[in-house]
Amino acid sequence: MAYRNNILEPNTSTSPFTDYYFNKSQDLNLSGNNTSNFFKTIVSFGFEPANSFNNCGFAYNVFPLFDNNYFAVVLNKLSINYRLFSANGVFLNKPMWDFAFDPCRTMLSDTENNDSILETRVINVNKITELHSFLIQLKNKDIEEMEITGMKDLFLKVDELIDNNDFLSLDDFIISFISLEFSFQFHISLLASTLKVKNILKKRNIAFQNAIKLGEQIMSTEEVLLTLQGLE
Amino acid sequence: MPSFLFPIEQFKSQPKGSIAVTLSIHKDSDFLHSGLAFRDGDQISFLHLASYKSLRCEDLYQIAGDYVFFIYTNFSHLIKTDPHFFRRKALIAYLKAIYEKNKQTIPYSFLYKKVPFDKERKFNPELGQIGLTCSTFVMAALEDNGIFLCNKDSWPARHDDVEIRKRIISIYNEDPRVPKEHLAIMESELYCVRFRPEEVLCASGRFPVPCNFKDTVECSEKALSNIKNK
Repeated sequence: MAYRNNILEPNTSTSPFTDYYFNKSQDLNLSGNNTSNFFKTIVSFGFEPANSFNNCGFAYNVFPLFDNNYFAVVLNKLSINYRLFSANGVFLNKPMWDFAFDPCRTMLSDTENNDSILETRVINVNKITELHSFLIQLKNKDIEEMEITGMKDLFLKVDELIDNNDFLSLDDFIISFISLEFSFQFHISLLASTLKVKNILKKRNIAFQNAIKLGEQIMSTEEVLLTLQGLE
Repeated sequence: MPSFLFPIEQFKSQPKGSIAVTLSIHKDSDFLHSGLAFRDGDQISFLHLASYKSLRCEDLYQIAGDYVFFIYTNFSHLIKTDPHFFRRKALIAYLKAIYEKNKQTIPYSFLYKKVPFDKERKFNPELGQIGLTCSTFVMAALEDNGIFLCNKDSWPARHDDVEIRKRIISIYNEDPRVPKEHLAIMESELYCVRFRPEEVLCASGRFPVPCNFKDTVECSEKALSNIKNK
């Protein structure tokens, strides 16, 4: 259970599911084996004040489901500080939280009011921790002496996610990869490693566009496009 | 030696991130052999499909003495499209990853249609390839990275490839690792198109790629005449 240490912190206390929300969760599968698909997008739906959660005024609402899985609701365009504790009192710090939800935020589309789309998904803390740790360690290898070793690690990690058919995680991985500002070199490696599944991934093109931008900082656009040839 | 072919000793002076397609002949055989040389830091490696289910990544200069002939060509496509070595370093990382996953997975067979590595980058016969040769391993590894050396449709089937294939099958006949069923499949592929090691070497020296068969003929003849002079 969360404890609010500061009145400015959002209320992350738990609330039960209501039938209303559960019925909206078209893709929610709590009975199956969840180990291969930790980031499971459940449903996106319009924010309806009359049916909102108790503490919908805050950016995030999180509901423990089972083990280390949380049902999370993210309100677009409201980036405020928050704190999340697991039922066992495990504190998720901001970088880890951002890591988990940055991909989620980018999936939200603007609407007329610019703030009225909610996305909900099941988040597995263990998975977040693992991917976050991996990318942070990988970032340490994004230096000249270690780059090929790091890129090989990147290939193997992507392969592992593909092996598990964990394409949602791989899309999240791509967005987090971009947010951690990896080099042009590592972007090439990411694009090469995901080439085989490019038609399955929704975020890969963002990495490609970001690679072009990064490349243009060090060479001409023509050279960048030549370098990236075949990785589209 | 033609200006576009280099003895393998010169690869030592290439910068970090360099990659080359190689052509060699082992002391214990007269078969031409294809592979990839690459440099990661001070480490220079030779990745090659040595035989049935035996993909090897070796210290190039530790094994170079085992070969009577060992040359490489400048990889023109990468030199022209990747002046800053970004793509080449990523390719080296890929080669290392694919080696880790496929040390003992790739059978030897003649017919080559497409990349046989699945989404997890493991050799997968369900994709339609029964195996690879040393040359088609090089092609497949590059194709898996979006680099197509050869316009496969332009390659002809040649009768003089049948004899060398029969010799290869007879060698594998003595190899207890190779199932009889696999040998039967190799027999059925005797007359298919062959991408010869010297042609894959020469294709890597061309720009742009993919190149057609006729674009490799002159270079291949020069490479072979160099071998005969050894």
